[in-house]
Parts: sequence; structure tokens; C-alpha cells
Amino acid sequence: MTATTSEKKICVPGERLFADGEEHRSGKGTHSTHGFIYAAVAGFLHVVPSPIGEEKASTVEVRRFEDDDHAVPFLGAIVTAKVLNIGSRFANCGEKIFKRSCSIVCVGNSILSHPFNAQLRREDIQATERDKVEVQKCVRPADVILARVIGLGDNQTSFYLSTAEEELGVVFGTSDAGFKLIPISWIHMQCSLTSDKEQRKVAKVPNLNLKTTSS
Amino acid sequence: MRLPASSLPLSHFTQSSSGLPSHSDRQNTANMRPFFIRANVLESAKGSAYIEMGNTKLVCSVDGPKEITVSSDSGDAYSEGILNVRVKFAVFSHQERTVSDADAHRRIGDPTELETKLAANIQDGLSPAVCLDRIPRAQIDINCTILEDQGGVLSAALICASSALADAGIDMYDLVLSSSLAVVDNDQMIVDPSTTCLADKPISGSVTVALMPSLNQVVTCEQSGACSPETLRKAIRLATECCVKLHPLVQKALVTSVRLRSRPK
Repeated sequence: MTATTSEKKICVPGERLFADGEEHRSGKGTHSTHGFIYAAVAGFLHVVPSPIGEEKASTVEVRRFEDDDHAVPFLGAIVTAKVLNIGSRFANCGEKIFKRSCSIVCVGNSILSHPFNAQLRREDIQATERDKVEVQKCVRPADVILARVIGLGDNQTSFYLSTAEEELGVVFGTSDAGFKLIPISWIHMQCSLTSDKEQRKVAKVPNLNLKTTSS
Repeated sequence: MRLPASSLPLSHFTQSSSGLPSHSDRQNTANMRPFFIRANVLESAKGSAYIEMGNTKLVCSVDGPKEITVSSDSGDAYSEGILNVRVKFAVFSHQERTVSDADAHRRIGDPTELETKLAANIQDGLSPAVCLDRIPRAQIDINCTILEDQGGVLSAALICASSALADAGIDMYDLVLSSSLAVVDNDQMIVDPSTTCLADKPISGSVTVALMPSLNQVVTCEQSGACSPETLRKAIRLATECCVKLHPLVQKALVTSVRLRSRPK
């Protein structure tokens, strides 16, 4: 992989790459100003063919490393967060210094260098019966959840998360006894040592070799 | 210790020999001080750069985007990211140490008045260049440490900080390049002066210009002292030419750092 990247052109921020016409679209790591596409980061230039259905033929991207790299949680992103504490109306994922929030650790496939605070509100945990949800039956502190960023929040609060989809919810949990929880249905998880069942909103993570039995 | 305001430093009475060639005639942009820049100098920082302009040396490190820690006066939501710039002069960076009135009451560890002013100038200069709308609710920490101050600190800091930002992989519209010059006798101009060469000259003012070369936009223009509008126009034009001369050097430093980072460890 390094052999191909060493042959690619290295760009510097502000370098003019292409005209922003019919053939090229500005992608990640570039910006489009005054009708031209400029590089926005220092990295390798990639010209990838656009997916079918896009108007323009190719997308111009400047990437520092081979894989996709996110720095900040953005609206609509799927994030991995750790729940710090819960209240009656929300679950907070975050750091001890701040008031309570979930702590966003990863965005998509990239691990963030600095965790961000976020909040999961009670009405955003489930898609159905949103007001009758009990937070402690869906998430607990020290759970690792997959969630989607639905709001940026204002000055006082942090990002807002939602697990109101089948694929989102608790991925890893810790039981009351302190051991790993294994999912056994969409609302139950079982402790690996004591076999106690606990209620969680389980994420439907695809391609995992887990045996799921209906409760 | 606070010195009386009317004291003069000893160097005022001694001949200072810097070892560099005399810079008496420096209207020509070819007479800029030797310039060196290198990116990715600090292993621990996300992005960093080290710059030398003559004897002025400074290093800058960038961290982020991270959660916002500085309290903001405005109650608006953070639709854009913010830059948090901190400047620190090393203890050995200055030749003369006089404590100004404003600094006499500061606690140890707080930035001095000069450091605060410099940080504000750097933030003003860099904010137009960084794509802050792509990092909402995030803060980028920029820490500049000035190892030796021999003139042109603001210019050096702007170039160093923008290189460090580019080295950290933060989205930018363009690099920021900067150059300073001194106006002597309201007419002659000395490009990129060092403090030693200005020690015995009647300076009427100084101009610092920072611009984004590819987009051809000036981001900062600082002028102190007094000069005629025609002189100012000439000074800005001259400073812009100097900035353009520095562009290939900064580009080369960044390309080298990208190549080094992509090598397998």
C-alpha cells in the first residue's frame, strides 16, 4: 500500500487542483472556491470515480492516510460511545470533569484522539413507545453503545445521540456481577458467568458470530 | 523586580556585533534573513512546526479538534469551531528584561501582556484560513513557544502556526504566510529586520502583513508608528512579495513531513 501512495501526488493546503466543472467534484479534504477545487489538507491526492447516479464523473479527495479519518462527530454519523451515568430522563456519556454526558470514543471506523461528550435522551432510545421507555432497562453505566448523532446541542449541552434504530443500541455491557454480558435477544442480555438476565436495548450488529435465541 | 521607567539597557551603550552581514540596504526582497522551516518536529503533538527567521526561533504545536474548554462570552451555539492560541516566551528569549506595569500584578503562570496580544493577533490571522465550519463544537489548541526573539516574531509565529495546523491534518482554505518590515525615516524600508540591525536606526514605523498566497487574500495587516499612505502602500506590496518568496519553502517542508508520516514504522 505504501508503494502506491508514494507514487501519488502530495498536496499542500491551498494548492489548486482542478477546475470545479462537470468532471470533478470536491470530496473529503478539499474545498471549492471561486470555481476551482483546492486541497484543504496536506496529504495524497486521490481521484476516485463517483458512484453511479452522481452528476460528475469523479470525486477529488486529499487523504493523509489510506483509511477514512474523521476528527469530529458530525450530524448523522454513527458513533461508538461509552455511557457514564444515567438519569430518569437521559443517559449521559462523558468525562468526569464535565457534567454528565456519554463519551464519544469513535466516529465510524476511526478512533477519535479526544473523546467528546454527548447525551442520549429517553425519548431517543427507542423508535416505538418513546415516552414509556425506562432508561435503566435499556442502557446502564459502563455500557458501550452504537448511536447516531442527531443534534449538535447548544451552549450548555453536548451532542445528542439516538439509538432508535434496529442496528443501534448496546454492543458491550457489564452485568451487576461485573462480568461481560452476552446478547440473547433484542431486549435481553445474559451475564457470561452468573447467567443472570438483564434488560438492555441490544444493537443488531451484522456479521457477528453470536447465537441469538428468542426469549 | 520592577525597574524605573526611564532606565536604559546596557546594550544601548555597547556596540552589538551579531556576526551577520550588515543590513544597511535591505529594500530588496533578496535581502531577507536566512529562513528555515520544518514540520512534524514533535513526536507527541498531532501537528508541529519549527521555524527560524534569522535568529528568531520558535516552535509551535497543534492539538485537536477536541471538546471546547474555554468559556465563551456569547451565548450562541457553537456552529463553528474555535482556535485557542497560547503564546509563551522562553525565559532566555529576550535580551532585556523590563517588567511593564500591566505585568506587575499578574500571577506566575499567567500570560504576560505581550503574550496575550501576540496570541490574539495570531488567532485573528489564522481564523480566516481554517475551515472552522467543518468542526462545529470543537476547539483547536495552538501552543507557540518562542525560543529566541530577534525581530519579526508575529510573522514567524503565523507561518509556524499555519504549518503546524497543516501538519496536524486540519482542514484549511490556504496556508498563511507573513512578513514584516521596518520603515526608516518615513521613506526607506528594511525588509525582515532583526532587532540588532534596527538598534541604532531612526525607525518611524513597522508593518507586518500576512496573506494567503493561493487565494491571494491578505488576512492581517499590522502597522505601528507613523507613515504616509503612499509609504504604507509600498510597504504592503513589498511585504506581499516577501511572503510569496517563502511559499515554496513552506510547501516543501509540508510535503516532506507527509512523506515521512506515510512511511511504514
